[in-house]
Amino acid sequence: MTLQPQELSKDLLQVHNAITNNQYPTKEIALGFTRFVVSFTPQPIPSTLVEIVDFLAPLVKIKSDVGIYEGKDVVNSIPSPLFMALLVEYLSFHKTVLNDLRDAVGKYIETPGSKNVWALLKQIGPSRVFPNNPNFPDVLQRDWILWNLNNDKKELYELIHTVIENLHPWLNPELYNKIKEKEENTRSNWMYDDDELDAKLQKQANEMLNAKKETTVLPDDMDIIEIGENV
Amino acid sequence: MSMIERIGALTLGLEKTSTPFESWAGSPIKTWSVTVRMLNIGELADISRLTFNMGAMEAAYYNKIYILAKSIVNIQGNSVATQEDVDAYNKEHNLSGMQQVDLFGYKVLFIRKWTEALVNRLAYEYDLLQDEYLSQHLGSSLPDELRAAVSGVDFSAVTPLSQNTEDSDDITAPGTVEGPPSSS
Repeated sequence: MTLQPQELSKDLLQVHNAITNNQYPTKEIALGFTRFVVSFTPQPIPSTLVEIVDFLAPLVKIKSDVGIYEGKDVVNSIPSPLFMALLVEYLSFHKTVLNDLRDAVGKYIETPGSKNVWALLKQIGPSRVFPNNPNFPDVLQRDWILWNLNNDKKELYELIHTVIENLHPWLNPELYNKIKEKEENTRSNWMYDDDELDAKLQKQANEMLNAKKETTVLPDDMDIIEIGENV
Repeated sequence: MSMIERIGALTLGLEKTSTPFESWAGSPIKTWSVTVRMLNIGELADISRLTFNMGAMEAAYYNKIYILAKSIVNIQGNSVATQEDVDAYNKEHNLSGMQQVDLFGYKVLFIRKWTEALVNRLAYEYDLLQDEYLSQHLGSSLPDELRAAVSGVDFSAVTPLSQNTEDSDDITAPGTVEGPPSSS
């Protein structure tokens, strides 16, 4: 099955091709007199040399004036230090492309092309949507599925919320009326918000306090008598 | 560059004859010449398979021996070992079937009997050949962590050798140049 992409930008088209068509970016690497063409793969890079050689064998081609050489025997015949230098370049290329593709998946799920493929995947299953990918799901497809599942959940929650909101008047009309009434009766604290009135009230309060102080001052000729316990 | 020139350039530094024991004053092998060739990655992977289950120290020791067994082409212009030597050894020790040693096994048997100084000196000669090859071919040297890269190397911190890696525009996306036709 060939999936047709919609109008997509360069990075989104890369993601589309990677997820749906197993087509990945390539890069030409020149090391001295030798020119290599390497292809990206979303598979993780192994850690041992034996596995790395097997891993890179289908991804590396040697370019020359007379043609392109590829295959396990060709890769095995590369001088070991040259292969190591190529490996270092490949690791950098792999990291860059993988990061770029994974970053773009979040944007890609919003495109009509992605939505169509996702709807199809849910209906007929991955074996029919991605028949040529024995490693399904690879890291990009896993990201894409997770993004879509989250998106589906989000849409479902939004739908439930809207439905409940709209059902309120019918589910419990009495409670709904009370809520509405309360909303209408909610008033602002006008006294707190009015600075002028607040200043005026504070001034009045200070004047009252001062007046009270003045009335409680004792005359100079008045003695103060302390009353002891024994008296 | 013509193909003849190109082949010459591509194979530059793949084999080297030197006198590695020149500094060994008084040694009878002081003037001996040794020819060492560069191993390809397939041969290095074979060595990695042989040392896979060994401990780190043992693997490092056998790694040197296996590399020498495969890389030493001749000493003083004479082949290190011939198939006739191997056949004679098998016959002398009454080895048959699976017990028989092959040419590589025969070389390993005898290199194991060499002194550590001799093994280390020739292993160093092989390292020099690698460096020379890289500097002639790439104009750079391998990072230290890759010199003895046989297994379990962490490549994440390694800096790329060429400069064009940083230029992400080199990356060709399938579909961006000859992509599937748009549905619109």
